[in-house]
Amino acid sequence: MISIRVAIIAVLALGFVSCGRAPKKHHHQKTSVPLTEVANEEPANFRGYLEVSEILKERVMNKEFDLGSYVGESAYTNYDKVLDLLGGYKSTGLEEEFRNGTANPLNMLLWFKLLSAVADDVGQICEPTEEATAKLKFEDEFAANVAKLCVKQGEGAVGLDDINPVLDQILASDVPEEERLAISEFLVEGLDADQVPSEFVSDVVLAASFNPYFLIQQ
Amino acid sequence: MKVSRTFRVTALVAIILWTAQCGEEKKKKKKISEKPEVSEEVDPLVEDYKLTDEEKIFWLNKASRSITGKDWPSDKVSEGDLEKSRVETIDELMKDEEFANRVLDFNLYFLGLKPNSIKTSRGTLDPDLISAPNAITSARDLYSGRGYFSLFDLNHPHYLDVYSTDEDYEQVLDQAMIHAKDIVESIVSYTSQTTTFQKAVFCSEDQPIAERSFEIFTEFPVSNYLDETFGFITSEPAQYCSGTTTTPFDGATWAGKVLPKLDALDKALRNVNPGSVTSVMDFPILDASAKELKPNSMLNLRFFLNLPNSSTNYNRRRASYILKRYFCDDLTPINVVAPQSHAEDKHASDPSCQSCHYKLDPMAGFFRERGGAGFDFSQAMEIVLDDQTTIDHDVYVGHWRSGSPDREWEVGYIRSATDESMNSYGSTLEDLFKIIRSSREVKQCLVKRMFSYLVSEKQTMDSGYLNYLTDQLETEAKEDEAKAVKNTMTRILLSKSYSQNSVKSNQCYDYAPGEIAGNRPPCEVAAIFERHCTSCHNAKNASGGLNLAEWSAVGGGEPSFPHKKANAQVSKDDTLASILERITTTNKDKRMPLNIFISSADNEALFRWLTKNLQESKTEGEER
Repeated sequence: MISIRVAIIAVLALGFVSCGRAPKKHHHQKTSVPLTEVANEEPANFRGYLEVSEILKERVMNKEFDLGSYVGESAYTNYDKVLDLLGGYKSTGLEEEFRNGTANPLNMLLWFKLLSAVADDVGQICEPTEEATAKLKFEDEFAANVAKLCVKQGEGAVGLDDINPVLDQILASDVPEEERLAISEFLVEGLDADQVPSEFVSDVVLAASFNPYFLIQQ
Repeated sequence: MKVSRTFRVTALVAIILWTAQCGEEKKKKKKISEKPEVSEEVDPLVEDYKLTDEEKIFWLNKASRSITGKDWPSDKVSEGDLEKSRVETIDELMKDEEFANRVLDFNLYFLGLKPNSIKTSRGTLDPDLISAPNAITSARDLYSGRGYFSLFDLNHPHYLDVYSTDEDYEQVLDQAMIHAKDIVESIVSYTSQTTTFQKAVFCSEDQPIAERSFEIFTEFPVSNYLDETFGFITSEPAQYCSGTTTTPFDGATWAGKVLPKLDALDKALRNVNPGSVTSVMDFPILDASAKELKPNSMLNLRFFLNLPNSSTNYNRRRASYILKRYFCDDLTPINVVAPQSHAEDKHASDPSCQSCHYKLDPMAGFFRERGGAGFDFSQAMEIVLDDQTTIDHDVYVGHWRSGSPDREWEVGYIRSATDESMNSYGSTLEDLFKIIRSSREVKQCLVKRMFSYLVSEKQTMDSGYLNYLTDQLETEAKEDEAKAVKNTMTRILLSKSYSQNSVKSNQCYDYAPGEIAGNRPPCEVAAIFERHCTSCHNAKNASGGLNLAEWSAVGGGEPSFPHKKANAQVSKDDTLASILERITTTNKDKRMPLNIFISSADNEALFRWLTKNLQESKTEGEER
């Protein structure tokens, strides 16, 4: 069976790619919309590493959380290297401009690695080791919702009601209901009965965060 | 924004360097008074776009993040939240103190100074933010309802950026004051013991007095920009040694001025808790009773060191920043009809050069007295630039001397190369900021950036909608600036572009009241054509066979302007190329719009739209 993580990557990567593609012009559409269209469509920028770090800090992790720590940097300094590739304001002399805001293969890989690491950390809520407990702190309600998910194991054990609270906390209202439902169903249907709970939780977190609605400016 | 100690050292070196190169006293500045504007009736705020519950939930969280930087406060949105009007919700969110921080963040964005985060990892405000005092003053004014357009002012209070220290704060302050006073006393003592005052001796001590005076602030627990803010207090010895002033240095008089200011600084710092500034409203201000304080200017070392001048750029980098950030003028090189005469040695006589220089050079003239590191050379015989070039002061500023009997300087914000009545002339930097404060272009730029900040930089905005929002802002600001700016934000937060959770960047969703999409020309430029062109180029009177009021699939082809020659529709590319030629020609008899003033911003928008469409057409043709 293809790992659900691979499937997530494939589906979401396609989402990003289509987000970034400039469509052909629609000269002959018949609604009133095309006549007001201009030139090529552009995707919105990434929220950037700092805002994503802040959102994760607020919704999922804790006050000390710093996304940059996963690559040996800090999201709160302007001397970053790897993080710069994930979108942020950068000085051009006196002026600061948002750079690297558009998805490309390299920054998508970096986002994937970073968010996978975050997701794996969340997965450790299911298997709390002494080391992990000391190192990782989560937002209380989020940790409680994940803990409920941890005990559901086996085919048919996990339902939408179990996954939705976790997804809701990560995505808040960033994602339309239809899209959120699609993610939930995708996760429930793709669940491997033998999958270890920590891995499943990790997949849930990754699916929610490695997602255009989460990563791109609304 | 992080600059740290390296900047402090650079700043000190720069101050010493440029102090050391001033010459003799000279010129004075003149001032221009500004009349208050008359108030007019204020239009009501309209919420004309209704949301479904799902859209409302999405909007509530998004608006909360935009206004307060946080998710919607309650985990579950209540019935009451859904029923409440969005205007009311926005109003409540704007009462949150985090709103003031978000306004600060936007102000920095407007000025091109936005960092990734205005906060440190500890949640406190980045101390280096005090290098943008205009952004701080304006955010504080808006939140407290006092105003907003202080963003466009030159001078501001002295904000202090206190950083936390591992040592006992009070003790650190005590030590800093003792050390500062020791230095003052040592300088006074030295000068009083010198019976015959000898400049050469005074200025060539092992540790020169001038440099020593700059040490005074180094132990205070405040960050970089204090040296710059207060450097002038202690720069007197340096100015004497450099020959800037011929007045003998009198240590006792100097100490008499320095010590009260040090006391004011000490008092202000004792009123704050180190590292605890989490809101822009909490930035301590240096006690205003220190009356001899030089005003704190937004044109500080950070500005000048990042925008150096030279014997070739003649302050044009500084001018370019002002045009870009305040007027949203990217200096798109569009040919202009050249004025009849040029000053001989100006780099501007070629039409293609003139396309930028006609407005860049007069803007640069506001900075003519500022040499390297922004040092004021108005009192000097020579002016020293950042590239270390030394030029005779009168020769240098003479480049901006006007040939017109109406004004002394060819300095100002130039809207038209041919019609002087459209331009705003001035002389000093104070004049420049008065022009900025009163210009409609700046208000329009503010609205445009606010839309980019709240919606997206890449979202297309209908030019008529932009015009409408600017009109509303200008009208309402005559009554109440703060309310007018909040209303503008509210209108954008209520817009379809903002409220929908999936919008296309190349589509306009919002229009001025009464304007409908229909067969209007594309939204980027429709209102510009309406303002400047359609009185002669409409369906009833299509001058030259061209109707610029419509955009439709003429003759079953792709959408274009109806444009007929010999009863046949001209191709879209030929029509657009012809318009482009007419708006850029330097032949004033052919230049469009004929005898009608068109702003730089409008002309640039047209130019960009036309060239983009023609380029795309060319690319598509090549692909085929």
